[in-house]
Formats: sequence, C-alpha cells, structure tokens
Amino acid sequence: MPDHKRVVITGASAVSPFGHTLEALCSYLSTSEYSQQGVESKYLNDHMQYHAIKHLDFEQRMSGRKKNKLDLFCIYGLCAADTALTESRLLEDEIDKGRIGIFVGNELGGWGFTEPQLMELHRHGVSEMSAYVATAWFPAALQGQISLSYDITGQSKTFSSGSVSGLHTIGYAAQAIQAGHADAILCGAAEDLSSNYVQAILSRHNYNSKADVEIFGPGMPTNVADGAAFLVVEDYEHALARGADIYCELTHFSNNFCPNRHLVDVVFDSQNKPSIRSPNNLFILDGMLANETAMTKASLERLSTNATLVNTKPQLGNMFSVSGVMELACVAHGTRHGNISRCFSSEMAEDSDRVYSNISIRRISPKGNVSTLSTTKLENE
Amino acid sequence: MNSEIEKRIKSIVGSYIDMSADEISMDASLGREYEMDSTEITELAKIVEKAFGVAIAKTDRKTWKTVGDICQFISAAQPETA
Repeated sequence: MPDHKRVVITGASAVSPFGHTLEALCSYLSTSEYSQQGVESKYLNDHMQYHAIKHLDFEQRMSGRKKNKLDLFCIYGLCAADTALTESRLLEDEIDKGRIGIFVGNELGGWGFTEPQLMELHRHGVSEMSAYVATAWFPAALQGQISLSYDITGQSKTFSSGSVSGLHTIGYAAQAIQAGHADAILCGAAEDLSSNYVQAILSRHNYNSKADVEIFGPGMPTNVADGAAFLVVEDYEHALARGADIYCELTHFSNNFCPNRHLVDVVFDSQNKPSIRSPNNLFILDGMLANETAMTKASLERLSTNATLVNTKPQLGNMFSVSGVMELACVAHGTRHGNISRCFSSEMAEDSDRVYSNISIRRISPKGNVSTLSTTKLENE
Repeated sequence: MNSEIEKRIKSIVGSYIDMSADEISMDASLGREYEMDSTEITELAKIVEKAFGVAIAKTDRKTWKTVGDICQFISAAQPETA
C-alpha cells in the first residue's frame, strides 16, 4: 500500500457456527482440541461435515417483513455488519454517508431462498414464485440491503472472486480509501450453505481437479461452514478526528495471479517481502491446497524471515468468501484486547506472550489467484 | 362494503407488514404510510388472490392506493358476498 495515507480498522464482528461474537469465536479457536460441543453439524459425505449457524438472535435487528424477503446469507451479513458498525460508532456522529462505502464478498448466493421457489416454479408455474427471488439470490443483495438499512451511499462493490473474495473486499477498500474515494468502508462477506442444492454440489466437489494440482498441489478435504464477518476500514486521520477506537492498521495488500507453477516463487517472495522488516511474523494460511504451507515456508526461508504459520481450516472449515475476513476480524479483536495468541490455535499456545509485529493473512484460489493482507498494531507517530 | 371482507383484508395486510389488524386503517396510503413498494403489493396481491379465490391482474393492483381500494376491488369481484 502507498505510504501517504494510513488505513486502520475501527470495528469488527463475526457470526459463525462456533460463536455469534468475536469473543466466543476467539475462545473457540484458542482451545487446544477440536471440539464440536455446541456446534450443529452433519456429514455431507464421508470426508466433509457441514457446520451450521444456529440460534442466531436476529429478531431484534430486523422485522419479520424484511426477513421474509432475504436469504440467510443476507441475514447473517446484516447481523455482522450491524455489530461492526455499532462497535465502530461510525454512524453516531454527523457524518457524510456519501463518503462511507460498502464492499461485500459472496460466492454462493442465496440458494436457501431460491431453491424452494424454483421447486414451486417447476410444479405450479411462475405465478407461485416470490417476487423477491432475484433480489434474495444475487450475491450483491447484501450490499444493497446494508445500503438501504443505513442509508450509506458511498462507493460500493460486491466481489465474487472465489475463496479470495473476502480479502479482496478489505484490500481494495483500503486502496479506495487511499485513493480518496471514501473516508470509511464497511467490508465483509457472508455465506449460507443450508440449501439442499448447495450441499449436494459441495458433497460432489472434486478436490483433485487438474488446475489445482498444476499450480498449488491437490485440494485438501475440509469441512464447510456458514459464516459472516465484517470490518470497518477507515482513513486513519478520519478515525482520529472522530475519536474512534482503533484496533489495528492495515499495512500491505497484494493480489496476483500465478498462471503456472514457475511464477509461484516470484509471487510468494513478492507478497512476503513486507514481513522482512518485522522481527515476529504470524502467517494465517488457508490450508485448502496441499503445497501452500510448504511454498510459504520456502519463500520465508529464501527471504531469511522468521514466522509462525497457522492454519485455521481444521477448526473453521471452508467458509468460502468469508474465509480470511473471519480470521482478520479475530486478529483485529485480539490486537484490540492485546493478545493475538489467545485468539488462535494450540500451535500458538506456547508463544502466548509473543508480540507479533506483522500478521499476514493469505488466501489462494485453486485457479491461481494469490492474495495477502498484512496488519499490525498501530504504532503512534 | 362487506365488513367480513374488510376484516379479512385488514388481517392479511397487517400480517404482511407486521402490524396488528386493529391498527390497519382503510384510508391509509399503502405507499406513504405503510411503505409498501410495487414488489410488496405484487406479493400482497398473490396472497389476496389465494384468500378470496379471485384473479387479480397487474392493471387491477396498480389501482390500489389504500387498503380500502383492495376491499372495494374484492367486493366488486365477489358481488354475491358484497
């Protein structure tokens, strides 16, 4: 990121099957053993479990009239967005809402709402379909609903770029703020996997597709989960002026494509370079592709950089566009409360006192899109 | 106008917009006071169609400005119960 404008996080929230707050989620992630106590799950095939969000109290946040028009991914997203905005206190003061943006990631759309409607179409004809099928299904629905709910009218986008969508919302929001397009952007992602159609597709997914193997090795079997996470990304000076509570600073965002195996080292070295300056690095990886961890380690060795590597997939499962944002929300929460290590797994338990001066989150799509976002505790000038 | 139709329409509208049937006014504007957009009125018309067993064309529901307009439409479509 360019040096001339600092970008910080001033609000964060998450909704997951493992906790409906960041406090609960971090507590879950910090346990040394993978426990499913209190988590509602079912097997989609021999190797894949689906973890569902249950008992989320959204009645206080939206009317039944509104809920009936929305897919669950929108409902989860609106709940997470509402908490992030409340925590940031961004809308409490007189503020130009034309300078507030909304960047949202979504990969799977609103099939929970749409699937039964398509069944009605098939059985009884178009007259039996809800008028809200299109607006509930399309991935940009959440962006629109947030805009309507809070009258936010600044620059807004929806990213459907596979498993890197979530990081794209944060990274490109930071760039938009640095370019002067907005003072703050509400960024995040949401997914709901509850429909039979989505579960059937996921259960038949071929992890060993040729494209995966060629670049980053075969895909690794993993569980899947619903989720939503949101962050308020803000111009540092704007945050200071309104007296915001600053969680951490975004220091770096890279997004590249590796069309073939030969470019992987070049891209990884380039994206890892910001960590050279840091004495203690934490890398939160995706773990979806077999060679990702080894490739990251090799790159860090080439750069003579020390780092702790953590893979959250065994605990969180694949949350699609939410992956990455969920982890960043935990990092922001941990940084705000002074203990990152407490927010992640047993791999870090032995280093509970270590202060990480650079925390990078990396996501890779099977087709070769590599994104890395780095953050650090704010260093006052 | 048939009070049974009024009662049922108030109940349907109230249920749709999260209000008690007692709070529904016959003269209130569907758009301004109950903040119903054209998509919501399309949905509401489908519920009314099913409840009263009458066909409601797009041109019919476009004339609905108040709850009373819906009652008048149903009364006209069901003259034997009016």
